[in-house]
This record gives sequence, structure tokens and C-alpha cells, in this order.
Amino acid sequence: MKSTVTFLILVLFSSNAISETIQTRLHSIINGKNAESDLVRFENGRVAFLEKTKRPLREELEKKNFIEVVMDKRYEIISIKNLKMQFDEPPYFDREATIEERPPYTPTILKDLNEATSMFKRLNANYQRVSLCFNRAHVWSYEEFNKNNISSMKTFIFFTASYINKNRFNWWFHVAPMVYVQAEDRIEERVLDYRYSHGPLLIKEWSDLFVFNKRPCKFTTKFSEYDVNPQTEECYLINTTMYYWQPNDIHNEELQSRYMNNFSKGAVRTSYSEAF
Amino acid sequence: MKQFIICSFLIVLVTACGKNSSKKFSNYKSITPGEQQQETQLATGTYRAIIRPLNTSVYGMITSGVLKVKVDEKNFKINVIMDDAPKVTHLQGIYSGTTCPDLSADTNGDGLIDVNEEKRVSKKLIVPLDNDLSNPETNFGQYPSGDSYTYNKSTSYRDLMNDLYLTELLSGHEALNLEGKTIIVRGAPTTTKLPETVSSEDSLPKNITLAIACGVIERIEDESVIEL
Repeated sequence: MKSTVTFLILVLFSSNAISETIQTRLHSIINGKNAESDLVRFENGRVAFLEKTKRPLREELEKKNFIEVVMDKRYEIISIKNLKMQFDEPPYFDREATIEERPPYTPTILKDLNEATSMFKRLNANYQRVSLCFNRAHVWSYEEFNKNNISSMKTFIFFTASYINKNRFNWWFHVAPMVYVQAEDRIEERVLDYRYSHGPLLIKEWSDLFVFNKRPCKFTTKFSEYDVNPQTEECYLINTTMYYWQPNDIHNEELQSRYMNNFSKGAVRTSYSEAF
Repeated sequence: MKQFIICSFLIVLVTACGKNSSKKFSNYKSITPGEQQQETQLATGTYRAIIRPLNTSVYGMITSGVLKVKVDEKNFKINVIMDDAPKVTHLQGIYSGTTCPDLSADTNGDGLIDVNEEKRVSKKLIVPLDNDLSNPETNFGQYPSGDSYTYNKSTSYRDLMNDLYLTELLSGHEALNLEGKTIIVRGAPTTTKLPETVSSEDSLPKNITLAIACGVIERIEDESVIEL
């Protein structure tokens, strides 16, 4: 009887303590200030916090294996387990889809907001409940290009360590397709985030969904500007062509001077298989 | 709506609204087979709503979900899956309004769309998505709770319509046509202090009535994409 009660208590306690389990790979770790936990950024866009005392866990993370991470409800890492790869290595850097000079790119300009709304409404709604934003965005962009010849853009929003810490926000980036729309005497940028917005939004309206104090995000063209200024801003925005899939593509452009000029077949295949 | 929310709240707290409900609904009257046939023809189909976040700034999470409904001659099957919601009880229901509120609904300019502002857009509650869709004894009962939940209900179409008529959510001649209607999900964290400008209903805590997500229901022609 005693052991049964103990077991039940343990089960209740552990199910309450564990918030979430994710399977992914490490992107990077930002050291916390003083006694603050370190901020762990995963390739799937999620974040977690790691107490400085948990040195063995950090060492395990830094091996950059494919791992299963268990977090508590405050997103503090409880445990890490190495996983055998269940699918092909994602095509992080597809040379065939890149060139060494910035290629010309002419995005489509939609004639009005109605056209943008029509595009929004026909985006593929059959995404998986558990799916990654960059995979959904890639499929939406790819399908609009293939079916309707629309060369869209993408807008990435990157949340700083400061913002993530303040709000215990659980993403470090998010991305959605963006289109240019003719609006009377100007051209507007409208984000088509089918999962989270009710229609095509101006970039500020879109970032307000995620930045709760509604402070504007700073535009940049370089991933490193976001990466080296974790405290001064809440968030950064980077616009890219539709060919960019993950933050690594943007970072690689900066590090290796290679520019995406096509849809990587591997990225499209991976996006479909993970998200749809 | 007023009675719906009061009773919902009380039941969430003490789970004991059934007795009172049966007295209140003593004028129960079954619809005739002819009326039933008419309603069935109007509503048969497969529907989906992508449920998207509202009022994200108050709870620090990006809630999303999907509603799926299948209606045939006999059955009404509904499935709502929500993710990344606050860990509270969520009043949810299908409303007669045809769009989700946007910031233009925020008439007092406080940055939030409270229940009274929202209802100018979402309009009248038609189907409360509570614990029992078809039983008047337990109607307006318990609602799902938690940060991630799946709501799965199935009932006879006739029982559902009877229930909606007797509770006067639908009038005797009104059809239940889901296409273009909206689903609203409510419930901000109780720990969030909402501004004074946010109003509520019937002296209920603001957090309970504040909408956190909304979706417009569409008819789906390709039924193979919907699994229930």
C-alpha cells in the first residue's frame, strides 16, 4: 500500500513537473548573465534554459547530436537523451541551390489587398498540428510559386535573449511568407502567416502578435547583428527571398557569401514530410 | 449568453448546475420529424476552422488550433484541438458572427478586445462546446481546460438540435448552418492583471470571458483531408 501511494505521488509529481519533450538539435547557446540560466536555442526554433550548474548537460548539448530534450513548465532542461537519426540529415547547406553573387530577384507585386487575401485563403491548410514554422512557410511559398507563379518573400523575426528571458517566450525565431502589395501610392509588405494571423498583416501588425509590449523590431540584413546584440532590442526582422528556408541559410550567406537562388529540393522534400 | 456564462462559471467551480438546468428547461419540446429533415439537409457536410490567436499580449502565448466538424443525416461529430493555450478552463462555442474580430473591434483603444467589444463581431452564441452537446440536464456544463487539449464530442444530430431549440440558442425555425460561422475560445491566465478598461460580463472575472482565439468555419469539399 505504502509503495503504491509513493508511486502515485511520484507519478503525479513528475507529470506535473515535466512540461514538454522535443526532438531536435542544438543551434547555439547564449551564456546567461551572472547567475541567470544559459539560453539554449534549438534548430527547430524553440528555446530552453539551462542552469549553469548542469555542466554535463551542456557538454551533451554541444555535441550537436540529434537529441530528445525534456523540459519543465518553465522551459528549464531536465534531461537530454541522444537519439538515433530516424530520417536523412537535413540539407543544411545545399550548394546546388546557391551561387556566389547575389542573384537578381524580382518579387511579384500583388495588385491590391484583395489579391493578397485571396492568396492567404488558398494557402495549404493541411499542415500537421506539430510542425515547424519554416517548413510550413517553405511549402506555402513553393506552392504559390509553382501553382500561381508568385515570387514571394519571407520575413524572419528573431527574438533576442533579453526578450525571451523577460517573457519566458519559447521561440527564438519565427518565419512566414511575405508579399508586396500595391496600395494607392505605395507598396506595402504583407505577411501571410496562415497559422497565426487572420489575414495578410503589415509587418508591424504581425510582429505585434509575438512582441507583447508592441515595441517595433529592428530591421537588419545580417544574422550576426541579431546574434551579437542580445540585450538592446526585443527582436530583429530580416526579409529574404522565398528560397531561404532556415536561419542557417541567412547565416551561411553572411559567413560563406553564397546566396540562395533556387528552391533546394532537399529542403522542399523535408518541409513536406515534416509539416504536411 | 448571460446565463450561459454565469452557469458555466458556477459549474466549473462546483460542477452542480444540472438540477437547476432541468427546471429552467421545463418547457422542453421535441421538434417534429419534418423539421428535423429540413435542418439535416441544410447542415450536412464537413467543416473546418483554423483557430488563430487573439489578445496574445495579455498571456504571452501564441495559441492556435483547429476545429473539425462532420454532420450527416444522423450524427454531429466535432473535434477541437488547441495548443499553447493558458492553463485554465476554456469556455468555447460557435457564434453566429462571420468574421473574427481584429483591432478595429478594440473601440476603447486599450489594445485588447474584451468580451463586449468582441461580441459586436462574434454576435450570438449558437452552440456551446461543453461537456455534453445533447443533454439538457448537463448542458452549459464543464468546459475543457489546460494548455493543450483535445475536445472530441459526438451526438445525434436530432438531439443536438432539440437541445439548441429548448435552450433557445436557436429559434424553432432557424437552421444550423455552420458555414461562415465562428468559433471563439476564451480564458486568459488568472494570474494576468488585466487593465481597468477591459470589461467583462455578469460580474465574472475578466480573464474567464476574454477571447484568446477565434476561427471562421469553412465547408470542406475534399472530405479526405478531414479525419475525425
